[in-house]
Amino acid sequence: MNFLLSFWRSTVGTKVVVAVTGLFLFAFTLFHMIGNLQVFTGPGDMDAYGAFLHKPEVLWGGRALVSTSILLHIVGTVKLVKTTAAARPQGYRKWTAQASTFYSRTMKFTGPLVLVYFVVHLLNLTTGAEPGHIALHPNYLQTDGVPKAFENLTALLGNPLWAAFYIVANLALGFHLWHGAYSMCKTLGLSGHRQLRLARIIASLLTATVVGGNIAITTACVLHLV
Amino acid sequence: MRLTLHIWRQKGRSDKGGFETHQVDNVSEHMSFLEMLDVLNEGLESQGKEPVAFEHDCREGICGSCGFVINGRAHGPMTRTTVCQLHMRSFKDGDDLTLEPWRAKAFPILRDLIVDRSAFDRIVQAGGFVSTNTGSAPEANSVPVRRDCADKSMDAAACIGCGACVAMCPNASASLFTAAKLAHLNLLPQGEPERLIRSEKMVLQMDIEGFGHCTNHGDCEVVCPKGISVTTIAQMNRNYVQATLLSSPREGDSTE
Ligand code: FES
Repeated sequence: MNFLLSFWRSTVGTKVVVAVTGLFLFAFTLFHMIGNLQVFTGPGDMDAYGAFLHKPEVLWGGRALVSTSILLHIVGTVKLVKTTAAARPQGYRKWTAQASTFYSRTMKFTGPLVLVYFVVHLLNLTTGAEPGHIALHPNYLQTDGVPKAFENLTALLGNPLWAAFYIVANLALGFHLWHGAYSMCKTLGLSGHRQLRLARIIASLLTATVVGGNIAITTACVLHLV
Repeated sequence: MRLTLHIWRQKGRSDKGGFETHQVDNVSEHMSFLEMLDVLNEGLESQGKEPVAFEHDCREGICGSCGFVINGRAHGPMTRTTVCQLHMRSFKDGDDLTLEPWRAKAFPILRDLIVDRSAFDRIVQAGGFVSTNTGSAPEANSVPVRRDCADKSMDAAACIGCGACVAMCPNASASLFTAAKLAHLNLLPQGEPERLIRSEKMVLQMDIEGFGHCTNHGDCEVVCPKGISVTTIAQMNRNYVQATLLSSPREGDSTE
């Protein structure tokens, strides 16, 4: 256990933890988006999918994995951000970015935005099914603890204000994923120039897929196309 | 040409410091940046004022002593160039330049543009060496080195430890420096026996010194006068993970 502790204490070790959990969470957003594409094939598929996700083992296994990852991802990042804030107590009067990008420098801001998105998203479409029925939703419907996934989603995103929120939130998610995906390849030790160029392409494609898919779903709902 | 310089002046570690503005006239485009500062200092001295302190030694771009931030970029506008090798032809008449020392907690300012970079020395002391038995020099070529390893190791060994990577990094991270020193030795057969313990110790020392962490911005690589690649950082991470998580009790630790 000692070696795990000293691994975690080092900046490189913490970075690796943030990268691995980030990789998992990226995969989660990707599969989440793919699952939701079933909104285009109709209420039958979507609701069956929702019911499958509500099988206790899938539900609690998934929740445990996702919440552990998010927790480690955040705790690690906060630790690193603190170290780094202390590393340059006095900033430059003039500093010109050479290679860093808007995306790479705003990770610590897009991160909290994604967290807000995540929490609101839970209040929108998940907590309504729990005892107590706290839901940030126009009209949350469920039968025997299994939410009516299709109706809940289309009702929520049919509201233009909520649709706008989801689109903005997805752009923040996209900025975060784009630098995150590329950055974690380097953190996890990918070092060849050709490999890294490939990693950048794959990161861009996957990010575009996640964000594009989510925005397509939102747009379809707000325009009442589904 | 005539230049306006806004220079950071600080009397010592504990002084608060601040910017001072000076004009320099008759700057020739053939002067190096440091020669231009020499001219400024002569003028200051003749007026009985304190000259601007800056570090320099070889003035050939090989010792790594010189370096400060010119208009927001470490070592100024030329790629792969230290300030001592930067010439005034890179600027034009009437330019307004801001000169600041490297800013990092691990690099305390000693005076004006001079910072204390001994944190780098301590990182190297932590593991940047190869333990060998003393005696007569070994036969040349007795240890074959793969060509690509030799090339990469030499590329990393070009690091002169000037500190520009730390200065430019938005996180004030010393990852590029540490990774270069590691790659230099880790890639060679002579460095292989201590590769893991070296990686572990140097990363640890880098943290102890209070540098930030790497978020893969890549600003360091651009301003490095020796063109050290950020890919060395990924190698460092890989070796560190292997050292701390994947290797069982390290028998071969000859440094213990
Ligand atoms: S003075 Fe030696 S590198 Fe500039």
